[in-house]
Amino acid sequence: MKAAITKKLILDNFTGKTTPLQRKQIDGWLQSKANEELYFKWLEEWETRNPEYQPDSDPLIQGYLDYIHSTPRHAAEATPEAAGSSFRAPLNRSGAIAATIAAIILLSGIWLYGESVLYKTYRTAGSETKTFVLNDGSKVTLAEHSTLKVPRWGFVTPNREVALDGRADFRVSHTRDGRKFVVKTEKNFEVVVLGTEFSVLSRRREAEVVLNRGKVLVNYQEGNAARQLVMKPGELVSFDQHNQAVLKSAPKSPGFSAQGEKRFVFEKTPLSEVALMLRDTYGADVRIDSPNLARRQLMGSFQAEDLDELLSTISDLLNIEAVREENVIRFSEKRSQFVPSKP
Amino acid sequence: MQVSSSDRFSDFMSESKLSVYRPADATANGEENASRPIPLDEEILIRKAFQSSPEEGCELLFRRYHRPLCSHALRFVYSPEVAEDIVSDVFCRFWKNSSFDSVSTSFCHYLFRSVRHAAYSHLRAEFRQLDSLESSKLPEGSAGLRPDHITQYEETFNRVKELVAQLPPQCRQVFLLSRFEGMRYKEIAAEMGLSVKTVDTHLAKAMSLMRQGMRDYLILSTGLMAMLMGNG
Repeated sequence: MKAAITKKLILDNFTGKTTPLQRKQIDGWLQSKANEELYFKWLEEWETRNPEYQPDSDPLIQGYLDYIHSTPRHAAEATPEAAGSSFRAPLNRSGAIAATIAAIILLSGIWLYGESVLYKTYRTAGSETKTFVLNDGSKVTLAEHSTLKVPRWGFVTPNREVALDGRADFRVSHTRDGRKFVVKTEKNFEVVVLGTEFSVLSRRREAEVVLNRGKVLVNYQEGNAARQLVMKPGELVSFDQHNQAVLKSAPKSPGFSAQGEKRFVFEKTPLSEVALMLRDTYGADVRIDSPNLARRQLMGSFQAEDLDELLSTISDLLNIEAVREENVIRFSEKRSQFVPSKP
Repeated sequence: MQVSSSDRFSDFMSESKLSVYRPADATANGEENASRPIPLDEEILIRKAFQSSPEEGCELLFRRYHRPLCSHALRFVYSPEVAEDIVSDVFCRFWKNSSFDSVSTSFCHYLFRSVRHAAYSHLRAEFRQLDSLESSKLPEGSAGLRPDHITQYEETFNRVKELVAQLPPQCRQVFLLSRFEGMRYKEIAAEMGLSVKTVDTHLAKAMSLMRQGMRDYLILSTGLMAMLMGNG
């Protein structure tokens, strides 16, 4: 007898909850074209409702449109249905392939469109701000009345370079090949990112860089001399009209005492930086037992009501000891319970 | 003219601090039609768009299907980067070969099928590449082989998921950080407080377990075994 193939059964199949026999029945059911259509429709529905992953598609659309406009298309052949060939290289080479494709696109685009093809321009007007994610995963918040130019369809230059006029806030992601992220401005200075999170302001009359996390290098021109300075988290560099740099500490964040939900977000934040943060916000004296420990990184987003809760979370996350005595916080290694086994 | 008040400035700055984060942008991701069921007729509009402008048609398709397609590809390859590459590639070829003119199924059907073929091939190529002894026996061009049955794709990605779940915890975490987060050995080592060498060991172990688990599976499910025996 024919088994009833229901939508539920098909959905169960997507989640791997069917038996081999049921799968066989589904395959039989799929002999009909109409059923096959239905199957893929449900698959799409299922993926949309239960995404395993949600890319930020929006910035990629422009890249695709650029590809379309710069690539002539062939007439349709009796297309061998869908992809079958192993056009894709093994994992570790996929980046290189993407880069090659991007390079070809850019090269062919330059002839036709010039700069507008090379760069996508994000603009904010009035009091509007915009947040978006670049192709490399870096997150940018563009403040009011600002412009940011970003290479379209990925960064193909040795450095990831963007050009800013106005004010923006960057959270830079690492790339596998460790390419630097550079923010260029028209004010004769640029910021080279060695770490992660910072803000840049560059307007006609003012220019500032604030570093929240990580490490950045600021290249600037003072008179005729090229200068350079390295910033640490919590520092602010401002430039006066003669492009002279002044380094000071950034205005304190409202930090943990802020109203509302207390959510802490760590994105690969080393313990050493967490220590700085604890010192700045709580005035605590933080001691980390070993340099190794200081390099351990925290990742994740969680809630904590107070310092002790925060410490206990940190201790859980990193599986380390976090002890507080009055104003002194001490992080130390737990005695290791895990001994990696040789394969 | 250009007076940005300092209050506003510090407001902006403080928004960006690492310490306190209000999940305000959680809702910012426009997901208009995420949850409502889509009648197949929905593609009528897209087909109409193709009649007047293929460019516009492609854009609509991209907007409509890029996300779920990436999610689908990820189930096979377990790397967001590779998944996005695969999907971009399918869209690029879709344009370049004017596939939209010859598609006899729905676009949804076509795109999903293309993406899962590509993701499957990638998976196979990857596991094949890791095992040189095995690969020397494989006939040329065998990467183009596909499962006979549609449901084998579901079996495959669910198998991948199972295998990942079965990895020893620390091994799994290393694997996920490496694949999912695209982190380098060094970064993983720092993150987990392990030595680079240990990370390497874990990763090798993870890959070997995955390979073992997948190899039989992929080969059997594509009838490759028969070819191997024929050749060998």
